Amino acid sequence: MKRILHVDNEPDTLASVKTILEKEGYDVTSVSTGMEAVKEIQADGYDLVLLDIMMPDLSGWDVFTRVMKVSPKYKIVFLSVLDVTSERLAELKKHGLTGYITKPFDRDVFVKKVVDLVNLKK
Amino acid sequence: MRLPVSTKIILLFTLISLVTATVLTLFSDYSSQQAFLDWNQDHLDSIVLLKEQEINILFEKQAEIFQMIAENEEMRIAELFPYFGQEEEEQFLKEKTVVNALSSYTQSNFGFFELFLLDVETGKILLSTNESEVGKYRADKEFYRKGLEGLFISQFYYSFPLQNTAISFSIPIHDLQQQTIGVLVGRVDLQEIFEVMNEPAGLGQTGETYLVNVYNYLIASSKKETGNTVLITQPVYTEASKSCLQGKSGSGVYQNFEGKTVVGVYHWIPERNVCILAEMNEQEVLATVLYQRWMAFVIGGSIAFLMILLGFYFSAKLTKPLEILSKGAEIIGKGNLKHTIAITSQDEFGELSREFNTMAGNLAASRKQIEKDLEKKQLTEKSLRSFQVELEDRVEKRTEELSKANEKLEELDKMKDNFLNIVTHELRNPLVPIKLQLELLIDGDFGKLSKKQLDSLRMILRNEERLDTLTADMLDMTRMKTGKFKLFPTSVSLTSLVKNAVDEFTVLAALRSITLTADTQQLPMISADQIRITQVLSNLLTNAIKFTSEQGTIQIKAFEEKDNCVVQVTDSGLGISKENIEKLFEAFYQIETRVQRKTEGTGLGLAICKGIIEAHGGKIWAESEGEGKGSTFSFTLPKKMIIL
Repeated sequence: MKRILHVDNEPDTLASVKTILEKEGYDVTSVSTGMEAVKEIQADGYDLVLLDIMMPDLSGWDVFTRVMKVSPKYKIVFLSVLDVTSERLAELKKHGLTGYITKPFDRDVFVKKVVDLVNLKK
Repeated sequence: MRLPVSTKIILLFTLISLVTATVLTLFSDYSSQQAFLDWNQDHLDSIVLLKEQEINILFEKQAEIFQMIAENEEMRIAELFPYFGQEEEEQFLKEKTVVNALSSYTQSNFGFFELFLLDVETGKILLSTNESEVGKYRADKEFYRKGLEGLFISQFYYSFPLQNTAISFSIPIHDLQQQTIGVLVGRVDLQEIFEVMNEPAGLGQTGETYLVNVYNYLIASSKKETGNTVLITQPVYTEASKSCLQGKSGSGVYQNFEGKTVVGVYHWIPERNVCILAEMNEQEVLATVLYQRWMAFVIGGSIAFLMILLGFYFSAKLTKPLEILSKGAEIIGKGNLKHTIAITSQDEFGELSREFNTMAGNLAASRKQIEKDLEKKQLTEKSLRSFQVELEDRVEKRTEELSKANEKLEELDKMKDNFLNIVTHELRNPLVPIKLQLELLIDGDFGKLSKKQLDSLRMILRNEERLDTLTADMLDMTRMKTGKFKLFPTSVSLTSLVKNAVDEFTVLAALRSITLTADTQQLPMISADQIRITQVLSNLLTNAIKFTSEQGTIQIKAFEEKDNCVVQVTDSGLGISKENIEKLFEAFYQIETRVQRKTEGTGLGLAICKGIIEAHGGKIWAESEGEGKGSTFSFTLPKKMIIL
């Protein structure tokens, strides 16, 4: 079973995403802070990390850069309410980002993207 | 040149006196030298002429004497005896008589030191005062040949027996029948000529007169050292002698036969075939000139010296008051205005010093006035300064207040930014789980729902999506207002964009029975932000569909016009009143429609469209014939985009 780590400081969002993805057959771990996310990533192996950017303690950027320094093979996808330009996304991908999903999103679109990204080989 | 006046005066006097003295000296020197040389030549010329005349007279006298001797009685006796064969004794007696007669002539002061008689046929010496000569033949001599024809006077020649210069006279002797029977020859010593030549009168210390014969030999000279004997052994080759021996007379300054530079005059005496010269050493001639020159120098120098002394005197006299004035001016210049200048003379200097003193007095008075004024000015400045300080304080306070206000404004601005952050982030975040949960419910993940339940949930979802659009539009709007709105242009085919939009909206239009048609030319590729232009097209088509009733039509056109591409969306919908048209592109403006329909929108759509098109350097506008008559929304995009 593929394992997904979801990081978001909104518990409702965490719960909703967990429900949807578990229905698709994934093992979803949800954490609500950047620090927890870092710990979790260090302790365990995940097939995909869905990472919110704006979080109170350690932002998504910080988590992303820390992880990329240690294990650049890790697949991380940003989930954010912020828009991203294609140029910015290309730059982030150069630094090792796997994907970017703008919130809010439709269920079907979201599921399709996650499935694609989990199966993506990095 | 920076020189004191006194030095200038002295220099001027010196210059004037030196120039004058020099010019005078040079002029007098030159003229006197010329005059003296001329005079000297005239003088020598007259000496030469005089001596020439004397010599000629001497010769004439000598010739007369000689002719007299030749015509003497005894000579006639002598004529006869070689041809008439007298007795030997008688012949001897006759000869004796003639010889005695000749001897008496030689011994007396007639100038002849030797007389002899030549045979007319053979040139043999028949009789002679010098017995040793008798019997010798002289037929080769000039005096024999010329003497046959008449009186002949020879050239000057050197006589060995005499060891001196001599001249021969010769003359034919005739018998009573006028037949030539012999030639009488008399040798003359030149004692008298020497005396003439020796006469040194008018020749000064170095003067010399001498004769030169045609063989370039010196004959007679006035010089004691050349004397009466040396002569004829001394060759003379000078410019003067050469010229003279060609028969010319003249004068000049030249080198004489002793190599000395002389002033000389030469004269050719044709009768005697000699040249007479008179020369004076140039130095002696010029000695007078030199003396004159010296005198001129002494006088000129004295005058110059006197002038210089005068210069010193005048400069001292003139510059002393000037010095006093200058010192006084210096003292006054240093600030001592009470100083007075003590020149009491009744001339310009006195006047100047009096005026100077008056000026110093005036200066002192005006300085007092200035000091007073200065005091006043300082007082004014003080008060001005305090006023300035007060002003500065006020300005500082005001600035402080302003900067505080500015800080407040900045704070407010930050608060606004924060607010927008909250709107975008905090408002959108809750929408995520709302939407997801609604979808889970509608999708039947939590159990089957009745139709009414589903309708209700769908309504909730629709409004959630409105909120989502609203937040997105607000974000764009604030970016446009703060200038943070950015385009990401790429090369875009507007034709494809229009076609895609039409494809996307065909289904939606069909649902409402609206005919959507497209009329697009093949437009050139332009530089534009594809996503944003699509956003504009969607917005316009959404609006068109929204405000067009069923069975209506929507036409979209795309074409080129000059430097622009134009897109027009024309609908047969509600139309817009004139007053509304103007407000259409303002933010949060929505037309209150007569017929309240299910119009959805944030009121930001057209404002955002306007922002996007204008950011591309284009224009967007709406046209309508009025309410109920449909409307046309148009926008242009420049073929060559200029990002504003």
